[in-house]
Amino acid sequence: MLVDRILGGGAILLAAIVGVVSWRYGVGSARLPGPGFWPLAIALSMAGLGAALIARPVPAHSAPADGVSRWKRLVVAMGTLVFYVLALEPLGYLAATFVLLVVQLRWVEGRSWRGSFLTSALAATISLIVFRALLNVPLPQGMLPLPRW
Amino acid sequence: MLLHGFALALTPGNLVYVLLGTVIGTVIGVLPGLGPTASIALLLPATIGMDMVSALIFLAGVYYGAMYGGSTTSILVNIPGEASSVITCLDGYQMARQGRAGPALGMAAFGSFIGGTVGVVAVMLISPWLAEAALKFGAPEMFALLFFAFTCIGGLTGKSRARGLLMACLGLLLGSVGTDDIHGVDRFTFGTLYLRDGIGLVPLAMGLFGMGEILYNIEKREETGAVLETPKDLLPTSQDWKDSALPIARGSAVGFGIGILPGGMPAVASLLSYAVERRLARNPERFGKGAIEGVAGPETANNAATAGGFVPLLTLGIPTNSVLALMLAALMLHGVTPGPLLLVKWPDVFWGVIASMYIGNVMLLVLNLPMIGLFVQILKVPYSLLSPLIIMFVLLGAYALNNSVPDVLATILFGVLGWLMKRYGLEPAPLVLAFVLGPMLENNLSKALIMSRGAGLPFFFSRPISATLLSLAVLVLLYPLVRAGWRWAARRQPAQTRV
Repeated sequence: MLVDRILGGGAILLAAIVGVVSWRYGVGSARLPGPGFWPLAIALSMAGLGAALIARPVPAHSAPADGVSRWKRLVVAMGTLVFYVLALEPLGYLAATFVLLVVQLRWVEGRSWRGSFLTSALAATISLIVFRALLNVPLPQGMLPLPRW
Repeated sequence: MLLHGFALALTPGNLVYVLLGTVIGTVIGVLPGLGPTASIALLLPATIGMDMVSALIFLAGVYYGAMYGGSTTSILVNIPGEASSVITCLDGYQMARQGRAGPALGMAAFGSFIGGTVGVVAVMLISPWLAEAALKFGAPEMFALLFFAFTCIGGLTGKSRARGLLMACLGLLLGSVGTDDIHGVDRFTFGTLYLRDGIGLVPLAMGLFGMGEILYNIEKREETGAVLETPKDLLPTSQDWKDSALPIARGSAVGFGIGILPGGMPAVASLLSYAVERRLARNPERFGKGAIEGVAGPETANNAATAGGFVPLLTLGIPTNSVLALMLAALMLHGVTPGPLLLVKWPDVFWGVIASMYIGNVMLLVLNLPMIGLFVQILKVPYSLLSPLIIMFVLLGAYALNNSVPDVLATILFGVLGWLMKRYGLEPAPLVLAFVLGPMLENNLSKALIMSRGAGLPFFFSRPISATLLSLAVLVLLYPLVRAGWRWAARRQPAQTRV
């Protein structure tokens, strides 16, 4: 119920912003639609659907999923993803992927230290070889210069 | 003539090529982010040294293999490799979670084989005639067809049409990001160079489905509880076959029909097939919870559409999707110009391609049925080990696509969106499909409106095909209202009779 109301409100807000921006792009006419014509049409549909959701929300039984939220693990997982984006180029594929995997395996999934290190080293190396040597994808080298294939 | 084609395709050398192509295609297709387009693009340079027929046979094998590889990841880990396997995630992944990954993979293989075969036979029999008819399909008709497909999206997700359609609108909006095709104006790019090319389908689909699912599991999964049940059967049971026979038949027809249209793509075919099956099903609420019909129909349709796409390519020289555009490039690389004269000037190529498509299909089935056992083993790996590895592959696939870090960031952002959506019971499929359809919808709408010279909507209804399709779309949109009206009337009736 609440989800639908928030969703509906959000949709109307987004539609309003998109509507204003599309108007500025130029809506044109039915003879020659401008660049804003299509986004405006989408915005109008969105606003209509948003209003419909607020007026007739879905009955509560289909609302949020059950189970305990383990948000700490989620925060760690998302943190590593952010780290990965930032570190991929400066550190290089091998190092960044190794760190990503170790953190995910050890702290997010709670596997043993030994297993985490071994799996991470193996997976990062094998994927590097497959993509770089076999598929010719130039993965970032970063601080560790890789041999040329 | 076809026999001649088979004679060409069945030489030992060419058989090796088709086998090699299917294996490499499947292996690359299984890697997330690398769908058929990427696989063919990667391997195109390798064909320069081959003779023409062998090159095409090899690429056809890669194509089929990659398509099947994409379905495999959709079913096993909820990561669609390309647009046409988005639909397969809906029921295929649910089947895998219920321990029925084997039947899902098997039915996908059989369905693909049958759809592909029907498509090839149809290409052979009616290709010249159909090519002409397909040309009558102009922008207004194309818009009407796409709009009809779009209205079916709302019905994809059981719980709430309004929610589904709202997600679809969000998809359309995301699809409109970037430089607009007709006017060359940058829309919603926030001044960044990256967004000018538009948002990539692969980061969007992998993020919303794969990454979203993993983040959701990280948050919700119990420490001990396994998410996936251990696989039971390896092959479809006789009940599965009974359930899938008609969807496969209908999927073949829908797929081929859509495939021959200029602009008709496998993704549209699989979407329409799913919508048809859901509508015809005796208990539609099973869809989205592991109904095998939801795998069989769309998988058949997308392969039939793939085969159908060769009609405009070979007879008119018009590639209807990006993979076929690469095939066109391969043909031209070897000095063949597809078009009306192809059959006259290079009959070897035409019949060789047809025969090789057929052989590619057979090879795929022969090769992949024994592999199902191997693929299913992946699910026996504990999820706590599998999930970090999937994250690694998704990020790697996102990077490998254009060698760009922003693509990795986009995948992660869509992953967070996918997690939020899953948490609050919103479906990603309508969003992704609308994202794919959006630019085509807009393009054809603009062209049709320009063609109409200001006549607007009546113009669409003055052309029989577009009038029919649009009327169907309106019916689909209004159906829930009509049904609600009926129920209301039915509830009032007894009350009145009592009085």
